[in-house]
Amino acid sequence: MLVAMRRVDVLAPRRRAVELVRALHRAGVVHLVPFSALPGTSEAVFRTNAVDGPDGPIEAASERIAELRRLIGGGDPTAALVSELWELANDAMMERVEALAPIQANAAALAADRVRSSGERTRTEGYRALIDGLQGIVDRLPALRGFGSTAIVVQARYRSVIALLRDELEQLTGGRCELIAADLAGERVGAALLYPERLADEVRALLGGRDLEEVPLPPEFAGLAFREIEPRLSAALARIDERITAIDEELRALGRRHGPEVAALELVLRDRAAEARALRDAGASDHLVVVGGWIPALKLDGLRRALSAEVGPDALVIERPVEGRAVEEAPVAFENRPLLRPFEGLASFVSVPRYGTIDPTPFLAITLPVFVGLMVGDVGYGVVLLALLGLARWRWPRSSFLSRLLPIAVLAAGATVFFGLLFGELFGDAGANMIGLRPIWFDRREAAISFLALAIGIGAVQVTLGLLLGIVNAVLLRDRSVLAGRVALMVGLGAMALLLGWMAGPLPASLGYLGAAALVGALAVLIATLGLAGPIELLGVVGNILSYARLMAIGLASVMLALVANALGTLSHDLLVGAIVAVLLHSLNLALGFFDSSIQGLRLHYVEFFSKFVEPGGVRFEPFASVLAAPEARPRPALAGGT
Amino acid sequence: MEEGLRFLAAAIAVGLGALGTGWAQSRIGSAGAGAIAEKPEVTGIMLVFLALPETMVILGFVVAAMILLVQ
Repeated sequence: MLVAMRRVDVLAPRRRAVELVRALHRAGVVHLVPFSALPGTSEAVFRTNAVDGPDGPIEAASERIAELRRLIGGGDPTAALVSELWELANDAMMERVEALAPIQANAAALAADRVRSSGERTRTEGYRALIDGLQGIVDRLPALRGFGSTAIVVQARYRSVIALLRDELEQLTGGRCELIAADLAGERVGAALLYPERLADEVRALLGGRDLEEVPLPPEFAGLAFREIEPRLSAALARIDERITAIDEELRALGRRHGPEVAALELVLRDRAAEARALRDAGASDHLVVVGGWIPALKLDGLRRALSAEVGPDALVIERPVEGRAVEEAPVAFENRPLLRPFEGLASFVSVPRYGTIDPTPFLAITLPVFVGLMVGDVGYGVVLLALLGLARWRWPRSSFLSRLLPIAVLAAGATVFFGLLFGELFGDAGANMIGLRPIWFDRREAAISFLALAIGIGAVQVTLGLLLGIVNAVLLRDRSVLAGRVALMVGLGAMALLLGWMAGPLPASLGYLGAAALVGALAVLIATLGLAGPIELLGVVGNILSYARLMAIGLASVMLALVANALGTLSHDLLVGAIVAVLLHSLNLALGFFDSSIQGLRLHYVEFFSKFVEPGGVRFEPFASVLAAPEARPRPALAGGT
Repeated sequence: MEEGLRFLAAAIAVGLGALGTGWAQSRIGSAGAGAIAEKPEVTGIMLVFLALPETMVILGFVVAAMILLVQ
């Protein structure tokens, strides 16, 4: 369910504004909103607080400390250290930041040195690759007194220039030259040239005129023979590597010494900056400061007690009556049983439901695992998934992502085992062949019509439920137009069912006429409320129901793939080869089956079901909570995609 | 002859639906890849968007099933 919210204004003497905001931050239960005039007051009394907030220096310090943490890393901060820093006044906090300035300068210098060294390493590696490539060519040149040599490198696509160069070089030297070319790594061609020493300038002019790249070498290697360069490059690389290792070790040592303090400062400074922003968004009169926000109704008394204890009787929490459409501005917080909580993120994945409407989480929590189970429906796959989940939990015991995923995946795996028993499937037909497993309900491969009817029946029930919930939501939001449209859709759907029943035979003509009359009425209401899109909307609802046929289609594809895996496994006469083939194909089917059925299950909910009743446009409840606030007071992590 | 025509009709129903779905998914997929490159946090929602046009082939499948299975 969605948590009931109250709109509150928290007032305190202006001189105690900072204390008030810090107390609110520590309590971590109020979703702050920018100041809006109190009922019965004018802007002449209360206006947006033009505070002298210290957010400039604090923000700058926060960025500097974050940069330092990025450079030196280091361990997590201790809770005691965070608490100690949190209690410091801003001046004392800035002193702690300033005390870290030499460390920051040292870390920045080391980081800059590391960047330089890395660049040098990359360049030297490039020289070595080039020299290695050219070495083979140069070795093939004859060593002649009075002859000089140089090398050039061109992109492979300009290979034809080498032949032109050879012609021009022969013309220049009267045939007393040699040019050997070979492919290098990186789509390049290298060429070594041998020519009379006295013509060196002309050769350089020739190369320069063609805009060809001579092999560039660092100045310290200029003039050396190729075979002397390679060992020197290797030695240079070793020196650079040593330097980089030493820098890394120095940075790690800084991290070990100062990392926890820097991390704690980063957290606390982030809190301070948030407090400065909250003060800026508050309202103020000459004597009072007022901070507005929304709070879960059940936490109101707790906030009053906390403020009384921290700020004293000067702090007042005034509940502001909210009427009409202003209620829709209330943020949305979910409050469900522990088993349902992992589904909250999925339920608000596409859009957060509006405040005051029905929470879709319980519906999703029941039907999503059922849909996955219905589509995969295999005891073997379910058991393997459970084993993999157990293994993952053992391997990553503290992964928060796994903690959120695990309940959903375990329920889906349980449903897969359950439906696998109903359909008599264990790795396809392997269960039937090896242990005589028989379907309790029906065999998916043979009862295709029953399976299709079941899938579409589930769709009819869920879409009708969605329309019913949509009617309830329209009543809750007091939106008559939406209410009329949804009732007309329900009536139209029922009328079409009656007409279909009459035309197919089982229903009497009187019900058919009743259905026709109801359909005309429903269409009239739909046109009145939704315009010409109304009748299309009714057809869309029929399409929504038929869309559930994917439950059967994907289920059938899954069982057929399992059968194919078994069949291919038995083709080989070698037991080991057959087992490997079957295991590989079953693994593929397992991965594809669970991935695809999860996506399709979610899609059925978002597009076919939620579109009938979830009112989008809600704002997620994000309490103004400090790093000291209890974990349950901080905003629950939401999946991406929500608004 | 009539049996063969039924198979052909079923194949057309599901085949054209699959072509339509494939074309739509190719457009959504390329747009989605661009969106994910700029905002990796939309990966999840793009997967759902990618599954949207499959309704076409599912409806084609329903029609094909009715052609083949309903006597």
